[in-house]
Amino acid sequence: MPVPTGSETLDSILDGGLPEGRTVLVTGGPGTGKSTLAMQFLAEGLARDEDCLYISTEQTFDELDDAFADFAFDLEHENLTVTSLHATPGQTVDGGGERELTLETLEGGKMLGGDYSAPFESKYITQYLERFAPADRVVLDSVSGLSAIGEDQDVFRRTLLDFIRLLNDEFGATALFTAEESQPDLTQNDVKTVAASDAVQFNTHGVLRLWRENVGGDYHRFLEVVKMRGVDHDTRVHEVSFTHEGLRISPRLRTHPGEFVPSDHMSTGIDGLDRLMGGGVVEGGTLLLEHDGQASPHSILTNLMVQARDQGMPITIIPPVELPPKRLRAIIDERIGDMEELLANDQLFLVDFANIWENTRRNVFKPQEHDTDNPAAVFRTIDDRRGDQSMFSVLNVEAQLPVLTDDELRQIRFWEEENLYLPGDTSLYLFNPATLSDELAAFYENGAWQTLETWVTDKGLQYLELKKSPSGFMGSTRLVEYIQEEPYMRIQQPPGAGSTESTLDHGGQ
Amino acid sequence: MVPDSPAPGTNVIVLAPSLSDEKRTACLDLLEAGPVGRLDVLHVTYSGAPADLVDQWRDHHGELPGRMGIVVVGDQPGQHPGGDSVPENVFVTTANPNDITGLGMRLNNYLNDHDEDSRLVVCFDSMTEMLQFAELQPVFKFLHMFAGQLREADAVAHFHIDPGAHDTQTISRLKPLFDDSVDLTG
Repeated sequence: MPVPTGSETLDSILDGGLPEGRTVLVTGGPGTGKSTLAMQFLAEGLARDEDCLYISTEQTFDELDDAFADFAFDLEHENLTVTSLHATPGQTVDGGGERELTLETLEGGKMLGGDYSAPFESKYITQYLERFAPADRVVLDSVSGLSAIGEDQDVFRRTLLDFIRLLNDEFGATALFTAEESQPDLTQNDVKTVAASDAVQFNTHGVLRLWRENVGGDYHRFLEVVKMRGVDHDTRVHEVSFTHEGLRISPRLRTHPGEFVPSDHMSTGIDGLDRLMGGGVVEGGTLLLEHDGQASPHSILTNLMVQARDQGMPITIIPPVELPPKRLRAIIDERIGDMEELLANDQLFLVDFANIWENTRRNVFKPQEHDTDNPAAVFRTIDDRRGDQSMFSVLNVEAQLPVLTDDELRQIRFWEEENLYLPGDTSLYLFNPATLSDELAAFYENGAWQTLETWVTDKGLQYLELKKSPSGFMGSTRLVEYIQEEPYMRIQQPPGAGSTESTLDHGGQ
Repeated sequence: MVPDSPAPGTNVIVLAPSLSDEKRTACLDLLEAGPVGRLDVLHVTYSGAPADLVDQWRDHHGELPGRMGIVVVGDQPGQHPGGDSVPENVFVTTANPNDITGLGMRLNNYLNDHDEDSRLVVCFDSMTEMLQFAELQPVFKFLHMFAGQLREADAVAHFHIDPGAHDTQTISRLKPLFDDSVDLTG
């Protein structure tokens, strides 16, 4: 059972909450809300009548009380124990009288008695904490405050692993650790300090990251789930603000808004992509597919044409310049239907701006070769021949560049919208923005209902991001894979759209 | 031979041979510092078995005290010495004899949960064994600290030592830590 965090949005991002009986790390710079998020997690536990423990390594009880004065947290709650730990020079029973680093509470409480304390070592901290067992929820704020434990990173890492075992296994608690985000080259007294978040993030079950960023002159706070083992979590960045109850994490569009129902979508034929887009391509709308010249857009447009054909829609295509006639013919013959027959029966219209097709067939138009084949005339002919059937269009923008100026392209686009498209017509525009002027690319982006961008990273992986859409997982970037069976393409499931297993086992179907 | 129950806040040193009957009787008597149901009994033992301690208590007093804790100091860490032979409400923990600080932490954890309405009584058995694992200096510091904590908690505590095992200097060094002494060496 996931453990609710105290933020409904975070719970939904995490598919229910934190993994029960595990430890999750919250990293972030000062003032990003780590302690608030941690306290909110305990407050939620208190509201559920659970035993909670707050271990502070940096702030005394009074300082915490001050820090949380504006929040609705009750530090005096009977089920909440607040304790503190820190390293301070002192006397130990075993020591020879010289002062060494010892374990005390921040309020000055000695761990043993009289003037003696325990050395600031992992086993004594563990032994001290044992007195608070068991607990349902534990916060350690922050692990950075314990970095005096290890002269080297390994000791510190082992220590934190001991704590995690203690809290998860002995206490039976779900734990949240906070840590200052690692800063490269951070030194203290000429000694490189152990970056707490680096030492602990590999040991914890999950990592949440908080940070501040300047957006248009104002600082905004953000949260993302960096990792959460075994949880189908939302991978997007979320904006965070402070409220009386703690952090408010703004929800992001991830399902159908009220005005759209799945029947308003045309399936892409690729299950993962349909889920990413909230059902598929909005019927009667315009989808823009941008690629980087390396990532192939062809599988998406092929599958869309297959779907259009299955619904009996005639198809108009301005083939991408990089797709030679032989290849396109093979694709159409294999996946969509006999190309000659489709052309002859007014079910397929091909506008050959690049002038590379033989002009011997009905419905292959060549605007470059024939003045009568000016774009408006071509589209008017197509419109006549398709009758009142809803049409699917695939329009490659680069292919039109040799013939049409930017202005003409804009006019054609408006003309298509005004004179050509019926309400049920769905179109796909595709281009590589690097081949277009910024203004023209922006023009197409503005006019699109949905925008997908696909690219290949320097590691050779192809990704796809939904950049614009009235439905689906906006801003979600998913991995693209190619598979042996239809639809030959797999898009990693968006977060929360189904288990990881089904993504891996069923080819995205 | 054994005085009436010492006043609250008193630490007593008991000088007796380790395995003598007198020692055992004195020990049980010293622990009887009030109505049994209102006692919080803490045993620190280096060689006793928790089950035996519970049995001895039952033989002597009939019922178990309100709260009972046994810290077994032994060099076999991790082993749970109580097993099933100890009643559930008797808390048994272990400590490493080579780690005086760790023992102090265990004791602290026990004292931390002490209910002030009950009388804390403590048997520390023994300083002789403790001195087999640690130097006199840290032992002295530890006892000084622990006795101070017990005094503060209004406890009635006694600490065993076998005078035959130490030179007189060691005994006289430790003696000032205590408020009272019981000498059963005859």
